[in-house]
Amino acid sequence: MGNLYNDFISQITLWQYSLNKTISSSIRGAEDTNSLVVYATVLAIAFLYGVIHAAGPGHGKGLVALYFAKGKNNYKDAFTIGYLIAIVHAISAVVITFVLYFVFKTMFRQNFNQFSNYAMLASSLLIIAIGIYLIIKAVLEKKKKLKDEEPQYNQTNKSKYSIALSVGIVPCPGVMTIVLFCILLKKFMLSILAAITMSIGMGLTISIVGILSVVFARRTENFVNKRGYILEILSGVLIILLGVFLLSSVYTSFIN
Amino acid sequence: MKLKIKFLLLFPLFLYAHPHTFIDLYPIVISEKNIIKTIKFKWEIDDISSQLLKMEFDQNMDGKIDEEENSYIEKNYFEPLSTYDFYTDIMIKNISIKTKPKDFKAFFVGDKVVYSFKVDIEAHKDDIYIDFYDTDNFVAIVLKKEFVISLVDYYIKGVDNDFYFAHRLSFKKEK
Repeated sequence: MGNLYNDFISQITLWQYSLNKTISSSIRGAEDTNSLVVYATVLAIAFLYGVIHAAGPGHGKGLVALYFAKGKNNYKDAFTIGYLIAIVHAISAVVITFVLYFVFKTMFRQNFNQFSNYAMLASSLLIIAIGIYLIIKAVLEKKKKLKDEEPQYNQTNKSKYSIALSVGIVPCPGVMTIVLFCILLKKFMLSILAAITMSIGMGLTISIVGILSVVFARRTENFVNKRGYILEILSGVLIILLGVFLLSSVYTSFIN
Repeated sequence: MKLKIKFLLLFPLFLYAHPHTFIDLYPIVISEKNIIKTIKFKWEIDDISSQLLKMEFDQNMDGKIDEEENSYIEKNYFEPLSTYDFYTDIMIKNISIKTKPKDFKAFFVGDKVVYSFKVDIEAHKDDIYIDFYDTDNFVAIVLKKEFVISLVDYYIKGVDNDFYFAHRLSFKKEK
């Protein structure tokens, strides 16, 4: 199993390696010509890069999978959340990149690291809060025995948006490097367009994970119906652990 | 200082990151009668990361790295990588040897930032293999057969060590 995972990660890395070379040469190509074909090529590669980039570790896939595995969600929700995460993820990267580049410029990386650490701190605290919220909600519903009748849509939407915000708030370094590379070549419009298409690609991957999780939840519907309460608590606990894990890595970054 | 350890390495985003920096590794093997004496390494950093690094490396913006800039890069960006054994795990008779690079030099080749350094080894070719990998900084080390220059026969293979994937350079034909 470990071997399969490493082979998968290795393959993802090789694809990113190839795409990294292709996208840099394409963007440089766009430096020499403003042809639509060149722009379209760069954007197509950025999309593909986004799809593959998000398939590697991170980007909230684990959180999305845990969240949707607890049942009572639909494919549309999974798709929406996947894209919300990707959009927030990309916007935070673009905004921070532009601000850091034009304000701090020469100390770009050091400042980016600091911004990232604060964003990760906020992200981990939000993730822990979501886990606690899910547990409290499950316990209260169980107590009131209103689980089946209660219209939960608004509440659920709130937690979904929180999920998107908590994960997306950390700027995506992949988007950031592409954006900065374009800025350095004075391709400002291309930097924004590349960030958008890359986030569309990332959103697709994250959405697919969410959709697979919904499929899994539906396939185990009987179990979920009987033990949904336990599953929701478990999901909340795992999300809290994920947040704590992330928080510990932020703490390590701060003390270093 | 520690922030800079993440150097290349761009962004310490742990769960949120994966390789954003790719290093093409070019080893030149110096040998004498089946004894590996020294290996010279050249790290060629990918185009995108190189552009970012150039902003910080070429402080006087003259398009090249002078001695003062080289010392600054070595001290603040390269030496901290000793924590990670410079992504180079040298095994002699199955014992891991600390990587001690010498003659570090950073320079630009076209659009790329390149590091060069050498490591003295002094071991029989059958006793040594080297694994190249990074588990901490989201750097992908890329080693291909055609990247190596060696008079001694050599072999490149991918090694899955459960917690990481490495490229292995060896000189002994496996049975």
